[in-house]
Amino acid sequence: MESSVRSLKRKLQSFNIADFECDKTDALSEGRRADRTPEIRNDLCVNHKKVTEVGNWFRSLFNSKRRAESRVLLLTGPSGSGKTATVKVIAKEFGVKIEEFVESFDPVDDQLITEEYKEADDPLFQKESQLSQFKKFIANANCNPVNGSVERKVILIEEFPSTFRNEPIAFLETVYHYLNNIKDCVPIVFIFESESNDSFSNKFCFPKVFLEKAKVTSINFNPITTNELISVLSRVSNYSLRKEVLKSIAETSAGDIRNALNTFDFTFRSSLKTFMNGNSKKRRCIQMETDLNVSGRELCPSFFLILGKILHCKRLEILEDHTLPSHMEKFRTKKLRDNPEVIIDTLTVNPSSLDFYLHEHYLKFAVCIDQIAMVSSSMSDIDSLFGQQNWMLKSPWNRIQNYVVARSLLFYLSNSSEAKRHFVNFTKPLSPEYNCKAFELNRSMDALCFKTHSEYGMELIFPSEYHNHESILQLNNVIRNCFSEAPTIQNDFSKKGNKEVFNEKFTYSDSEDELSIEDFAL
Amino acid sequence: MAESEQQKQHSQSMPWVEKYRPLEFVDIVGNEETVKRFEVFSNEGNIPNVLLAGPPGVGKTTTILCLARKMLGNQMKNAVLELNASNERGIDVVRNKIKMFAQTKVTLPPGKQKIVILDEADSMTEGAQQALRRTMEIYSKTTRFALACNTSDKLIEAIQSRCAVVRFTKLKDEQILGKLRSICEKENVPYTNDGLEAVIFTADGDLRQAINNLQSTYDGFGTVNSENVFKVCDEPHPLFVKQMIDFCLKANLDEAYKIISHLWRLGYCAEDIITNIFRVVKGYDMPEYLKLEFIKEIGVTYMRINKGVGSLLQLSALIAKLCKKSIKSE
Repeated sequence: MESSVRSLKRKLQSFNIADFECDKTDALSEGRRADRTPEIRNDLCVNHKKVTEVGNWFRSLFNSKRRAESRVLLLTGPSGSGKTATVKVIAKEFGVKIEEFVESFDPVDDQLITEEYKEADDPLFQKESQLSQFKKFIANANCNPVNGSVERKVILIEEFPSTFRNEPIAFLETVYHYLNNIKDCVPIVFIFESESNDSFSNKFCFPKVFLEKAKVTSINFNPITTNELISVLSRVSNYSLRKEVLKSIAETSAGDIRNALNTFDFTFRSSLKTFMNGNSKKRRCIQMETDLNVSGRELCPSFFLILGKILHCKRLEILEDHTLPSHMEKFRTKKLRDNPEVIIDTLTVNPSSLDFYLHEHYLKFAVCIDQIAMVSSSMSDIDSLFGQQNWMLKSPWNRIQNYVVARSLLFYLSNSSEAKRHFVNFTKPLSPEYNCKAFELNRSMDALCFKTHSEYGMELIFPSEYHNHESILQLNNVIRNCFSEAPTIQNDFSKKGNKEVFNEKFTYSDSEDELSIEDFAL
Repeated sequence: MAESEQQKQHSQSMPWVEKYRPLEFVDIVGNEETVKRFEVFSNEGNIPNVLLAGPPGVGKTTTILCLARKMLGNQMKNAVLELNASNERGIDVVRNKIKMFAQTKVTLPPGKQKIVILDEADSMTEGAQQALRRTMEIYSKTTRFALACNTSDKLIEAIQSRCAVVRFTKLKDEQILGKLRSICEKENVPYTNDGLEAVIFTADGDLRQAINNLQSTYDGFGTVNSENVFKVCDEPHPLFVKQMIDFCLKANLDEAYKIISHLWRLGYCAEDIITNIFRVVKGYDMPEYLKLEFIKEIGVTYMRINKGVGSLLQLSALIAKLCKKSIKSE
């Protein structure tokens, strides 16, 4: 831990005037935005395999003699992983035109529709439904020009019609009908941003049944690796910055290229000037440290610094001023170097993410079973009180859990810190992900039950096979797969516990299945 | 003459929060590094889309407005669209109003763009945020977005990804003190040091609230001393609470109980009292072991009060437990 914090500090302090080549500052401040968007395949920082996959899909459609099986491409992945950029680059390569769906709002003003018109039932004054707008769009896209030559184009759907959020199945049905009814229709590319903490996941929006029936080629993009980010950043900065500098930016952006560039923009373009004007070298170093603290995504270097301060407690060499009653003399400790409440108050991340990190990593800092017992009991006390609901607490209570956890760690682990100094990699905690998945599962189960029960819902999913129970089971399997793809837990302590929780969930959902099917049979 | 009189009248009736809202970057208190960064952009233009996240009353909106004022000068009226939570911000507003604004042509010096300010962006509906992301990209040549919010995780990833996320932290007490002093001098407010301290204590790092409390104390009582401040803000006086904690540390239950029952008889509700106790203990210098235990006990009591049992019994149980911590157990 110590070493990681120190290396971080070293990284931050290594910024100095020599990092910049003065003659390149012009290139830095001007026109960078313009040459950002990649134009050719080599400029993409996406994994080559993924790019080739997308390329293959395009080839099968436009450069082969056989009729392509798959006319729908689904790209999923976190934001800023280069999905849109890849499609645009590849489409350009094949000379394919991209037609993008943009949902426009109904031009009819509400105020124009008076009572009179409402009664008249005139179609002119009825608002167009979003779905029919979409239908119109894909129909228009299929109209070939008069000369009869088949245009090379794809439909790109990045901005989904807002009805998709509420009624994904109705939307997918439209797409399905479109694919079945029109021969050699214009292919569709879906770009769907999947985020772990979103209220609905792609697993539910694009059920497996649909993916199979519509012969969708699905490609999942991963977050961009730190190395790729660094190489892009250094290209953008005209290789005028040191690699360590760029690395620290890349690490804060969590594999999001767009955010990395924005952060880079915000931190460096403006600091260039102050760099040039600054007098002492020392001042500049300090400045750089704060720079990275204020910008960037949630997990900026300052967060890890504070994490280190809490887990690896630093104390002064003198004892506390206060005298404790004689029986508690053993609890008297050396003075703390920093006040934990003050440190935590400077944090900008939300309280639960600090908690998750501390819960994930505290074990590595304990040296004996007594310590673990003390710390974990203290932490679990406060967790049972506030853990589930710290999001609804007002200030100053929303951080109380942080204070207590931090203080327990500082107090009970303080003796071990001298003995154990080693490098700790603060990996991302897994528990929030599991929580999300469990939440999603419940949600999707509810939605599914609702669908099966409501008469309207029965018509929606592929009517021909809907009366067959298998399709319902299939959908359930899709949801179940949410869990089979969950990352494996590396921490031995928690391995068993989590599995048990999941088994419980499964039995719960199974019973839910039976219920709905029975009802259906009646 | 009459006009200036009127103006004077007007400025008197204005809340100080608006009257002393900084117009220049130099007047902004706290978060110096961040503000400095914005200042550079205000000269150069071409600012990336930004997302300002931080607790209320730290100067997020003020910073953006300063930026817009400095960057756009007298074109500010035409080139800035400001929407906050009080404006309707459903999908249709994003589609119509924002798009319409993005499409209008305003003559600006090279490198400078129109600015859309979306205050309290975390209260936008998810659908509206989804609609916003494309708009942000399509019009990036002419329009930049500045979003302000309290918690950035209420915004969808897609928006966060398209912005440089800039974080504002709570203001330090000294920073608030400086600002309050200067306002007091300008307004000729008689004040005592403990009065300003009390204002700062009640504001808890929120400058806007500090100024509001200062003004209402002045309007109500004419002088700003700690007694008046706590009367206006209707909070238990932390001095009592401090004394109470002292008694708890000495395991003097009788005296501590006297204080808590006194506060109770003054009519404060249990939640106010417990919040006050927590804030005092947080900043109180006491042995580390006891502080940890105290905060834990206060948390337990708060949770009980939060569940609806706001009785004196809960509070006296708390002080009894606190006293017990420093008594030798048999």
